Amino acid sequence: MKRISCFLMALVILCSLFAVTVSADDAKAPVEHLVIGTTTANNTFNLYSQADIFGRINYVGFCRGNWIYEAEDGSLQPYFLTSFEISEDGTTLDFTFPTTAVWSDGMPVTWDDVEFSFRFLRDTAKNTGLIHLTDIEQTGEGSGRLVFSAPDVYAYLVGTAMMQGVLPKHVWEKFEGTDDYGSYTEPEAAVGCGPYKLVSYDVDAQVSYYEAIPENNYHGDITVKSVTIKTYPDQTAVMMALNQGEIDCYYAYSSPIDSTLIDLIMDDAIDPGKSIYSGEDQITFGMTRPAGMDYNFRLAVTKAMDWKLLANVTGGDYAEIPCGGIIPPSCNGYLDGLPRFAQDIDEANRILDEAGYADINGDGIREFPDGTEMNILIVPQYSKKMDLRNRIAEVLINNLAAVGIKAYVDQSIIVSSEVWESNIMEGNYDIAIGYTTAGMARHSSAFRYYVWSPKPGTERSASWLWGTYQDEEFNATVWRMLNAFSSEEYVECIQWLQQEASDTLFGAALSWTYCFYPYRTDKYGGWYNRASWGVVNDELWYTLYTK
Amino acid sequence: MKRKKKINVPVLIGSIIIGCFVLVAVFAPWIAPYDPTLTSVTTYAKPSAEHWLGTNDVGQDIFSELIYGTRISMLIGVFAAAIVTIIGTLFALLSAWYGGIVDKAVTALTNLAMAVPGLALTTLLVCYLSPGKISIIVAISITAWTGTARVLRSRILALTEEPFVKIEKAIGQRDLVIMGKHLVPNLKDIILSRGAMAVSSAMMTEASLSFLGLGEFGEKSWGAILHYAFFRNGVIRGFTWWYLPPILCTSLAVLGFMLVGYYGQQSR
Repeated sequence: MKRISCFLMALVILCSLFAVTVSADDAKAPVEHLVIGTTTANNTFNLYSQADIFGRINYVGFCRGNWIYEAEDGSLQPYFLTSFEISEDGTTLDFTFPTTAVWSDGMPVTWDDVEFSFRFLRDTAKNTGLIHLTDIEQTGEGSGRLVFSAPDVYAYLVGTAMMQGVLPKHVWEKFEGTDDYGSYTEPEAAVGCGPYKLVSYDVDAQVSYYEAIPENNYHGDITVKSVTIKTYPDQTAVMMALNQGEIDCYYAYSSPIDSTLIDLIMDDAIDPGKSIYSGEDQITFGMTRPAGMDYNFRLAVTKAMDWKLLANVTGGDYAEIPCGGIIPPSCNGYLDGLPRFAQDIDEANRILDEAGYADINGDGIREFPDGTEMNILIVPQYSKKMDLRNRIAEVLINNLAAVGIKAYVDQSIIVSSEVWESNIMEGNYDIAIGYTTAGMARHSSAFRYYVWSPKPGTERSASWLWGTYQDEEFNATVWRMLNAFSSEEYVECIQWLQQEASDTLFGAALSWTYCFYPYRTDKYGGWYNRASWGVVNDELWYTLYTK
Repeated sequence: MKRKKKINVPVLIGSIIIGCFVLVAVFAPWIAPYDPTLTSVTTYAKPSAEHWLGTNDVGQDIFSELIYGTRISMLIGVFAAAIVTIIGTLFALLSAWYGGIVDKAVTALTNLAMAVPGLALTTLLVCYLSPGKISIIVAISITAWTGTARVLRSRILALTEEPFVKIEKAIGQRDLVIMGKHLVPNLKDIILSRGAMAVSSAMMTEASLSFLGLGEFGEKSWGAILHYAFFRNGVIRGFTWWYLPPILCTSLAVLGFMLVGYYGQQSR
């Protein structure tokens, strides 16, 4: 009996020791200081603005308490709104919010701020997602209700709510009815109620410093106590900084590290942060111009294109040739089974011959079926990645020349963003080379850039209406998708659009790629590499721990 | 007995270098193994028997790009230098011959133009005029004439004191005739030397502007090759076969024109 007692006692002691060890492992140490490297400028610190790294990192609930956020599976998750419920008819949103949240200047976040924010976004910022918002009412302490005159709630939440958040009334009320808020640069412009507050910044050194606000723990306890964001001149410098351990991770909205730089990783402690990318480079046919309005021309162009090379140019060894539906498999509502593009020069020549695009004057260049000169205008999107877009244009010009089509890039169009934008808005292109960012791909999708009609009930004034495809059903479906009542309606619309893209070829993705957001694994654990966004996402601030 | 003329070795070497580049530029279509715009799936290829200098990010043959690049670099260099030399000579003639307010105005303009950083002003001008060959030539011409004008002005001032010029002036010969028949022929050595040096300077400027992405779309110049080698990460990845050849070609061509210009001027 004595032996059994001793054995049991020893067993209990051993189990206790084991339990202590396990719990010690579980109690993960917080991160004292995280350093994020970026290539986006550290100049503007305005809670409303999307400019510079402050505006871009607020996409992932940093200094701004975004209303909600979207999980990788597409589900909507609480953030500042601690809970939310959409009515069955899709017109009412009941929500709760934390009564303990504070602004970074120490003031408490109140219902007045919440009510002001929705009113400001609707009336002053003219947010299209809120044009049918008719009533903002408080339903209790820490709860409220939005009432819409149309079933817009779901569309608002998935469309913009995750990139918008509550604004401090005491800072922004002076801008009501004006449009000066976007360029406000006083220190109070950065006051927010996200999990972090801006402590200081140095524009000359391109660095900014942030500290956690423990009260604003929307997704659990904040585990990263302070953050520094350093801006580097280019991605090469970021990679060097990462190799040297100068930064812990990389973040730049929709600008993953170029695939050609991944082999610069010289430290085993660096994870390349590879994930499937939801954005893509794409072409759009000018559907109102003589070439683009002919399906045979569009088909011949897609047969002439060197898809393998285009995939290689846009995504290196990590890209694949796309299928006809434009959006990649990582996007919500991807339609499987559409035909994949492939180069077939003979077939392209046959299609052009049969469609009447003959070389009438014997100069080796095809003319239009009516005998007039054909010179295809290719317009690369003016952007930071101009070199890549220009290279894509070079490949296209070369591919088209191989089937007797003369194409060119008008130098005067690509010299400035204003000239480019006015051309693209007027549909002054035969083939436009563009790009869909990961943020756009999440809900709006690439189809946003093909739509011609404005939102029903509004004028055609939006600066992003670049499409020329005027088919009524197509335009109606894009807007039905953007204003979808539910995820089921969204999927139904986006799948129809993919089929339409594949059937009519009004545009095409140039490749489907992987993206890279590298980070160091030697100091910290708990990284979550969110596809298309990288490790700096809405969950980082609550999951990272010191190893 | 005939006296043997001493060979100016640096000028000879310079001339040979220039001659080689001129031959390459003229016969580029016959020398280049591929169409330099031809793209292929063989991207970032290392030098091989098939592609002597490898391929770039869109599979274009770098050796062919380099050969065709000679044309653009030489064309811009020679054209810009010709315009620069003409402008510089005209200003020098006006300034030194007429003197007075004209001289003061030209000298002030020269000083002003020399005070502005040349490359920065050229870059601004190209941006304003919209990138391209013509813009580069115009921008270089506007900014690079000052040195030639200054050197020629002082030489012309000395020439105006020569008896043959004074006599022509005394008999009432027209200014244009004196300039054309007496001054310019006596300046031709300096003009040619300055011209040769202006070509090298213009080629360097062209390479710099094209490297900055201010060249014409799709144009194959040495600066443009370097631009893509840098911005498409060939430099950082150590693809020496992509970025070294245009650097060497630019350096060699500039050296050739410098030798001719510098030693050609010194020997007289």
